[in-house]
Amino acid sequence: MEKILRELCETFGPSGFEHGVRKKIKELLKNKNFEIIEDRFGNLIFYNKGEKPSLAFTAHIDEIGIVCIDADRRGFLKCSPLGGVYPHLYTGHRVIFRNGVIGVFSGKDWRKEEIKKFNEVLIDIGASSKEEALKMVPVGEPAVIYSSFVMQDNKIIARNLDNRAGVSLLLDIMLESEEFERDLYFVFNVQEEVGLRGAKVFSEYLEADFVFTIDVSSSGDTYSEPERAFGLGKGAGIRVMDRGTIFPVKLVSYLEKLAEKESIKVQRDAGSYGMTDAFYIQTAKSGIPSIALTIPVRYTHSPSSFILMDDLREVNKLIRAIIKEPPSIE
Amino acid sequence: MINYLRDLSELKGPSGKEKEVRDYIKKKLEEKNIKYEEDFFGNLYVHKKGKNKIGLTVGVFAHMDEVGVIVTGYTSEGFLRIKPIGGVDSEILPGTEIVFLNGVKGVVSAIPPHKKENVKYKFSDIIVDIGAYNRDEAKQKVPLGTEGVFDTKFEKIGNKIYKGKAFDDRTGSSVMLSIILDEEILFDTTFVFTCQEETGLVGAKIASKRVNFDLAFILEGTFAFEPYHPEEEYYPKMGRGPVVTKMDRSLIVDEVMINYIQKAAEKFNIPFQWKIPLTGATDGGMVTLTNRGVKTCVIAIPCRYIHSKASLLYEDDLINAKKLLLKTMEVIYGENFKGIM
Repeated sequence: MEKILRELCETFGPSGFEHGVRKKIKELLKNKNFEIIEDRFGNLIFYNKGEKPSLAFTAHIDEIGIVCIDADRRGFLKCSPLGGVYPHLYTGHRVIFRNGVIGVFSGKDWRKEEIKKFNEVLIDIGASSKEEALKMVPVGEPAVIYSSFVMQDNKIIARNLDNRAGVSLLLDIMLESEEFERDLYFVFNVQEEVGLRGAKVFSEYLEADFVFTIDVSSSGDTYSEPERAFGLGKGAGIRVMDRGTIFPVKLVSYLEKLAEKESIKVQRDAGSYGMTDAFYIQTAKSGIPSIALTIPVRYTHSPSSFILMDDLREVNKLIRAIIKEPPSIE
Repeated sequence: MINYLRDLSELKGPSGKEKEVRDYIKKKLEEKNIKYEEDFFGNLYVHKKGKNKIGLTVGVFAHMDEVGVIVTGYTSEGFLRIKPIGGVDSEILPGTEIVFLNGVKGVVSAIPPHKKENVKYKFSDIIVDIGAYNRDEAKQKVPLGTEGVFDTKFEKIGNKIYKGKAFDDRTGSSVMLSIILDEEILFDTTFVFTCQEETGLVGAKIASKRVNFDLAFILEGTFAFEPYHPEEEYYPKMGRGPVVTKMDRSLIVDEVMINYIQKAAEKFNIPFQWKIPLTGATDGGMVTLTNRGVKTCVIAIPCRYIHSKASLLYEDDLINAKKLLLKTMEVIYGENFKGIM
């Protein structure tokens, strides 16, 4: 799993430009016997026919990023965000464009004053005129933070653990298992960070009885006074409520019972912010029972998201347990 | 095409009350014996036959509605209180003329400079004067809930420059109408005139579930560079050709479509400009999320001062928008819809 996570984190794939991630996933799974479903929106689904109930596990493959929208006379690029990018967290960091050009995320007087708005942001790619800048980076070219992947002892640090961590879990399970008896869908969906758009598309045609969305969730333990109980090192998160969704009580208790039986470390994840793909899945068709399994993360949407390998393992165990012993349909 | 725009611009069609616009389009279609469908919501569909049969359903969208106001109350002196329909800025209303759907005209009250001291207009401060003497008279002339739009004459004010209202999206509608009435197309295409775009892309949501599209083009009227914006900010400019969206708040346009449009523009020498607005959404945002993902792109006509009493437009932008759409279709057909299925 470590190797896959590293490879995924080092792949470029902001919302709308997930091509590389899709390619990587297909390459990793080329020897496996799944039926591949690809829709025109870019969602990639692997299906294994088997015993009902039919389960789906989803993870979004996009990450946040920025897009070049113009350059000024001096050759600095102007940009817009792809998803929830906070300029003050990116300031001073390096960005890399799809075409390989590297620049610095800067702005006027950023050492003295925090950059709050995107119209104050300037990307310095070392160009000296507008023409030169736009030749190096044309309008519409996407970029992500240029940072290295760190795995040391129990901790993992990378810019895009949201949600490459979730993707790596699914891939690990798909690769490690010889054959599945269960009816399973593994969904790798796109454009989550810009408003759960991929989920809106696939949830209208996915034929699953239960859907489990794997995503990261912000921990509340980095403040001197903990903001909420959810935290690192406490195991897999079972989402109870967020800004967009209240998760089915039956699924929460099913998961808690299952975890107890299999001695998997779990914690409840509740809060009034954040949203996952389950928001659209739950309300698609006549309603699809779905829940989010979360990986606790610190500093998400910053250049250095931070998770623990231990938590990742617990989520992995939980997913395997669900496949072995799914919830009952009635 | 400019004649269609002339007629369409002066019609009253705030979101939800697109009847005048729809009736005009229907009349034009009937004159040429062109069949259409209308759904319960008021969207209008024209299935136009092309020279060739293809296995795909291609849609072209333009919305019929415009921004407007709605009467929400009265003062005892007979003035009307209003609220916006869609994106109307209360600060640009004072002094403008409004015409209500029942034909009654009014003026939005404005404080003269002699008396005005740092007044900011919010909707709660705005009243419309229809020349009524008291509440009862006002109520009788313009009943509660009556919608109104800007009262603006369509005029030519310069070389190829036209002034009018509702260019968002009567420009797109007139391009579409002119393709339906006056052009031959390469392949079967469904043209959809949608309702209620300005209040949340509602018509498009219904239309794209009624017809299963594979490929969609959205024709829009969009904002153009306004003189007071700093030059280095990225804004489309009037007169430099149709605007092609790469990404907006609701849609990231697929590379495949971007490449097709660029190829068509280069091959047929059509001027165009890119746009990556930070804000704004179009019907495309709804359409793209249906039928396992619809490849969707937006071609827009840059107009100055949209969503206001009077917008400006350069005639060639309108002509080139039509050309760009038709030629893009030609290029896509030529390459056998590669990358779209």
